[in-house]
Amino acid sequence: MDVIIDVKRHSYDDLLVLEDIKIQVREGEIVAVIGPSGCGKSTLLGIAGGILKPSEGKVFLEGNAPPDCLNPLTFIFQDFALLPWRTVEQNVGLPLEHHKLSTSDRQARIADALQRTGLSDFAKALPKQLSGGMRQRVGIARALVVKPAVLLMDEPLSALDAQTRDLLMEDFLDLLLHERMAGIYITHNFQEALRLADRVVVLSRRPGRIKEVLTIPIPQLERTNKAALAPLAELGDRLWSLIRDEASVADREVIHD
Amino acid sequence: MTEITAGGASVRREVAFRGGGFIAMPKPAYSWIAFAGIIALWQLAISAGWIDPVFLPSPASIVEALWQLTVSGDLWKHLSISLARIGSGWLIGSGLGLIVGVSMGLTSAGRAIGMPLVSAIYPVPKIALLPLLILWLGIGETPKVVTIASGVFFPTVIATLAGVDSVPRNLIAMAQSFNLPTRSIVWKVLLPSALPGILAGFRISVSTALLLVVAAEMIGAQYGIGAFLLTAGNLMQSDDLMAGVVILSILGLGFGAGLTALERVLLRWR
Repeated sequence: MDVIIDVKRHSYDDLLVLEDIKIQVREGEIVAVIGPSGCGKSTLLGIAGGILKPSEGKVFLEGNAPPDCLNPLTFIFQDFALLPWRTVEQNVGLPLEHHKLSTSDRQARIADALQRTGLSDFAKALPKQLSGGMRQRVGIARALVVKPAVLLMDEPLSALDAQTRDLLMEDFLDLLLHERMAGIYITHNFQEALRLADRVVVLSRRPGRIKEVLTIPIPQLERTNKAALAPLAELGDRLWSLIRDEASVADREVIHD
Repeated sequence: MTEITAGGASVRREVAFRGGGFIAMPKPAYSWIAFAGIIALWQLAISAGWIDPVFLPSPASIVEALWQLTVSGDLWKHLSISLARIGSGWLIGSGLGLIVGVSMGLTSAGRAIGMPLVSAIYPVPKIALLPLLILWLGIGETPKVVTIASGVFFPTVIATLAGVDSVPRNLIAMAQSFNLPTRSIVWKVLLPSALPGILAGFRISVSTALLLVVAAEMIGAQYGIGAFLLTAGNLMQSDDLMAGVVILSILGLGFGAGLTALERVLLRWR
């Protein structure tokens, strides 16, 4: 299933946040979106996932979702968005509770999601008993349980420490490559974008417009090879040069706010 | 700062500890010792004749009065009536307060209509409405229960509204992103998340109910702790009066302990 984002403009009152954004993400493709702070990356993801209504524009889904998909467009949140009073398995099972599923199907889905995220032994734990990385795994398991067609990831690793981030990034990659989902990955982090994405969409400072789209010609599984390091570093430099000046302005703007 | 070595130009000093303090450590023994000390001093002051027992009865005579009230059955007669008034008034006020608070938290119209009304009526001492309520509803249980309910209603509305407002928006966005129906979002996300605030409101509303039941019973009741206190005061039976005050204190502590137990069960996830 492909997702097509066509946002003519989006504004908060008089503040124009996004303009002329057209992105098509194909099944099995991962598109990272980067840009300076306040360029509207998360807003764009909210619009893509249908939890924000664009001032002008539309989002389309094209193709068929997997037969057992319960929620084609599924989010993974930056701050995990777990219900702290629910155990891991109850959090993971939340999206299934309003679907007419048999108990065995529901339990099988939860068990499968927990097993794929390495959480089977933590099913009865409360979120407060887990580390940040494990909490995000719960967020991932909760997304997997509905068998999504498009995964919308809003800086899913930014709240984690560097080591956990690296470990989880590999798990993400494994998941995205195996499931053949379309993925939109919002990030500030070039390293994450260059490790995970097939294409990187660079947004300009407010209003966010598409400044450039970089295709990463190296398959994800080969990006840790020595031969890939130099071209990836070059792409990283290119990304940085595209947003450096605007990032600096955005930083000063935040300070003065 | 302690100097360890001093040779030539270099001086090595140990860095003095500057942290610590500003942390409340549990000292349960202190509480009991202070409490016992005050009671002992109080008893001593009466026994030694420093204070006239008509104005302040001794702890021993208060205990004696409490015992007499218990064995005569008067304590239960007054207490049961007060508890029934508090219970019914609190349940009605809290129930309505929860419904109105959630409605105001969830709907823009509810907030627009409710907020000015709540702001205008909340500061009015509810006991001031009792004569009017007696005029409307007659002499009997109803005006007392309604007075308590109205006193409980407003803090519950405000606590519930604040609780709903404090629900992290990302949790609602998460629930919406999984297409949870509105009813499920309210029951499974919003209310549990607002529960700490609601329970904090209950703590205030229970104290309000206790205060109002005494005030209402002092104005127009034959039985109840408030009526008992008023009678004891009129008859200068200061030991009975203080026994009534002790009962109120125990009631307040009991309600507080009950809510703490409830919080432990319902908020164990915190």
